[in-house]
Amino acid sequence: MFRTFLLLFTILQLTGCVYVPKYIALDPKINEKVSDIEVFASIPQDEVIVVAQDPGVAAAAGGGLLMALIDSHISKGRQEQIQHTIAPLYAAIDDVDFRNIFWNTVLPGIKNSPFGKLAEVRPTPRVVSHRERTERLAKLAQGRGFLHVMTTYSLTQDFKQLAIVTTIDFWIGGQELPAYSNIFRYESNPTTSNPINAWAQDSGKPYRMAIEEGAKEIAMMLDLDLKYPVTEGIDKNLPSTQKPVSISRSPGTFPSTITGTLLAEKAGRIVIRHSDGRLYSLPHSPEKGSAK
Amino acid sequence: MNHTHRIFLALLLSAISIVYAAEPDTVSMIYEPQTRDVEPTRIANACPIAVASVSDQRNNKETIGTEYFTLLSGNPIPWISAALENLRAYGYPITKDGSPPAGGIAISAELIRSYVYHGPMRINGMVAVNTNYTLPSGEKINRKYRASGNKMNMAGSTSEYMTTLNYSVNNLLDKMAFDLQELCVKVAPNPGIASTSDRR
Repeated sequence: MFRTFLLLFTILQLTGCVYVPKYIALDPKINEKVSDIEVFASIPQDEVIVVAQDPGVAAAAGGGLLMALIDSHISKGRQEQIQHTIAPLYAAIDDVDFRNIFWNTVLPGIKNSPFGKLAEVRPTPRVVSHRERTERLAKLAQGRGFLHVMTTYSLTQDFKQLAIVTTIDFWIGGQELPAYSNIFRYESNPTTSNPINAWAQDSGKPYRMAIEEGAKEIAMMLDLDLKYPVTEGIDKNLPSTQKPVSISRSPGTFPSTITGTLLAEKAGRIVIRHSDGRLYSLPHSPEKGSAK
Repeated sequence: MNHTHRIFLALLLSAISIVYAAEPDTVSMIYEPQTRDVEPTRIANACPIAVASVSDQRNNKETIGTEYFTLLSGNPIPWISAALENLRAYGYPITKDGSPPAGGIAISAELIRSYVYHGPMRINGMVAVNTNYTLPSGEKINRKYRASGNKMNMAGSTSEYMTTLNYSVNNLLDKMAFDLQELCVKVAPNPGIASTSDRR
């Protein structure tokens, strides 16, 4: 019995590290169920980072300490090469405060959303770990809501695009599952064949503008997601004539094709809801039929 | 192991889990001169250096990064001060007086970035410092230094993240030490002796 307990305990600890809820549309009667809301708005990064891809040696070999050491050694070399490549961009943007730019745009959008009555707004560099979230939700009183907004950002592996990803989850006290959950991804227009120099020119102006655009797109995607929810597989509030669109992304990007509902379109950019419910703001060239 | 011991161990493991989740760790920012990839190179014509001031100008003074859990930042000023004083390892005499020493340079440093993040099997770090050099003539020269470092993620312990920052700051010192020799020539030119350092 003890062995069973220890095994279950270990599994619970490990599974606590990975939790990606599926898309859940917001209940339109949320204001009737919630008296006030606490917001935890987190951006843990101080600046843009590009993480080396996993060599995958250990995974391919089925694990083992020696394979892990090989993976580590390869990762070290790859990361150092990335840091060397990206150095000119850092030199141009070391005064950039991403959090300040991002929240100045996105937080007003959250306040104007159906989440409505906000008790606290806590932009923070701290991270709510899964364990901390579990504790917090266990103490969440009936009629009180907890809104968790988590944003990360990076350059794509080819350095050509800035990607900003915001995950929003909303719980109500007394309910086991989230009352709302979705992920929003913004990708900037790709830069030229010399991407780092392109980002860094004019004291990093292209990079700064991409952050501002990304923040606006994230705020807009939240608004669109709440305005056009999907429940039981059906788009709400969209015309019945709305046809699905399909956008191909660059090789190596996952998913490689975004297929779903077009929610917004403007010159050079579209917002599309993928089949899994996630929203993407992507550069778009209609004549080429692809995202880039 | 008898029944009582098993129950105690189960309770202990649960208690450890709860304590682990209770409060985030604060990183003790202690400088480690030996945590580096390569040994310091002695600089010829190294002039005296005074560490005039160190300030924390990070736009996030609360944490040191990490995307999976919170690591609170300790006070970085003693850490950076100690790192700068380790320029002595490159041959620079360090004076305690904050004003530019005779034939030397005063350093005023502003820490602007200090963070860590995860990679595959690795912990990566970054340190950036904005430095103002004051020469005995009163001339002020501004330079910015930035360096990364990384180490294998052995157990994800708090001390490993500080070790990563120390790798980063020691790599930064390498760049600063190389840069300073050019300024030392400016302050106390000695055309009869050539620099033997070729590292940056």
